[in-house]
Amino acid sequence: MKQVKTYFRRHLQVFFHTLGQFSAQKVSTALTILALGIGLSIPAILLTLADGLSAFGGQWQGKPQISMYLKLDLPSQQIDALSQKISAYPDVDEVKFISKEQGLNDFTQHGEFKDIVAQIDSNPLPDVLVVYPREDVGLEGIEALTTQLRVEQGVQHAQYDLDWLKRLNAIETFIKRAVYILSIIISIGLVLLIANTIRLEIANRQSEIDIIDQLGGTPAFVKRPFLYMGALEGFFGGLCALLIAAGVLVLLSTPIQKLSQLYDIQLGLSGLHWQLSLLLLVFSTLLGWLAAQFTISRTLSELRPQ
Amino acid sequence: MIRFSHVSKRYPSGHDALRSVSFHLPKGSMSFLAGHSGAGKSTLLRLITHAITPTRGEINIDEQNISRIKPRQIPLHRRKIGCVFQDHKLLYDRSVFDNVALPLIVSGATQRDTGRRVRAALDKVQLLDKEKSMPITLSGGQQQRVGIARAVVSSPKILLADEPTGNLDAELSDQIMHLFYEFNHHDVTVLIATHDQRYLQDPSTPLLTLQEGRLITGQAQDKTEHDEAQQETQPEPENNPATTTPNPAPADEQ
Repeated sequence: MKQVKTYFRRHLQVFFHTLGQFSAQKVSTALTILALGIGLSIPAILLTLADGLSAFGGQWQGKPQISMYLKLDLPSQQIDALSQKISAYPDVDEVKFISKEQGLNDFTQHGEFKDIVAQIDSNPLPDVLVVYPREDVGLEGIEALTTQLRVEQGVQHAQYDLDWLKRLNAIETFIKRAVYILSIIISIGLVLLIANTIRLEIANRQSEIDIIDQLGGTPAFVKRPFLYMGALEGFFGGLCALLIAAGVLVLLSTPIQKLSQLYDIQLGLSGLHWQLSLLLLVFSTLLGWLAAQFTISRTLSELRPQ
Repeated sequence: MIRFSHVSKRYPSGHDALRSVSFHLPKGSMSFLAGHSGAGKSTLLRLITHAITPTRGEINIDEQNISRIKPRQIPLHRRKIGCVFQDHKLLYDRSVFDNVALPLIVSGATQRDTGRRVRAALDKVQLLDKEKSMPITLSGGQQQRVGIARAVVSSPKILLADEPTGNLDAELSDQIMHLFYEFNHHDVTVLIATHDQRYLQDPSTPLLTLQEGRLITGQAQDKTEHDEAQQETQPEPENNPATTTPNPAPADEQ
């Protein structure tokens, strides 16, 4: 029990000693942590954006829809008849009518299009029937249904959004993979950065290492302060990355809100997810620890008697 | 306590630092190690602490063959040995107390024990009032005493000193040497490498003399100085606590 207490006391001592060293070398520590923070913030931001993109895709996936653009001069009785006919299709869940006036109105509400709409004399938009297939209808069913709808009387064109969805999925896969690869490259860079600070620290404290080795310090004892230094650098670097990422996402939040209004869906990008934040902190701490372990182990192997 | 059997050390550069050295220092003995610089004194001390490994031969310390020691056991082996260096090897970014406490912290002593033993060690070298000072503010002799306090704070079985009085004047050297004799009275096996003739002439303390890596044993290296010393110190033919087993020496100095 006493030994356990002593063991933890030693760890606490090293922990606070390392913090003390950080505050003694404010500038170089701050620069290292800032560099780590900038490096780590990039994957954090990109991952959050990619998550937002998935959420975006997910919402579309939940409600596939087929837009039927009707011929411009189609009388309203015919539209009603068409609507009723399509509603009776076994694969169709619901049909929604969007009149050309309503469509124009929707456009006017979005600031960017207001000026354009004001310059147009007549309404160029067609009436639209939005067809929602039943949820159990698969991709092929939707495709078949679209082909069927295209040949209906009075239909100019029918289009389903799955092409777009497929593209979105492909883009998402691509972006996620790019983010992962980028994260790995950045992580390697950060390991090298931390390893370099540890290497300098080892050089500064070479006499201490030699003396402790001489006095019978175990390799674990010699390593401990350096491992703490690496891990704490990593942790503070991760914390710094979270601050940077949070700041960047705040700056992005306004254009993203506009974007989600335009697509009439919730992008759900309020900020960093707490799970991602926690993961980032654990990951960066581990990264620092690994870098230190790698560097100090090499130094220790040089101390081995020959 | 310390037994060398035909120990040779050749450095990677090809330099033969020790050639077939054999001797035995019993428990509680005190001996001097003499020889010109480059004769192999430091190599011999570093072999005892297992900072380097012998090329040939067997080294037994405290009944343990350290030529075949496992890496995990090296720290425990070194904790049996206190070392004093000519250049003190103190840590200048820590207080005197923290320097002396280092061996205890390394071996995981409790805080209470540490405080008690550090103060006892500092008291022994008469530096109790300096425990909060930084080593750089102390004189050379005081720094050496801090180094000695650090070497004995964990009550090692063996005390090694490499030129402990090298940079000190005669009076300070005597103080330091007196400390070593005191520790020896507490059953510590002491081996001091020195070229200070004043101590080498003491006939009550056995002497290991190295010359070009070979052990030649004698009470003094220089006959005339030895004779002068005999007149001064009036040595009695005492029984040596240490027995030295020299190997055939190429040059017999006696």
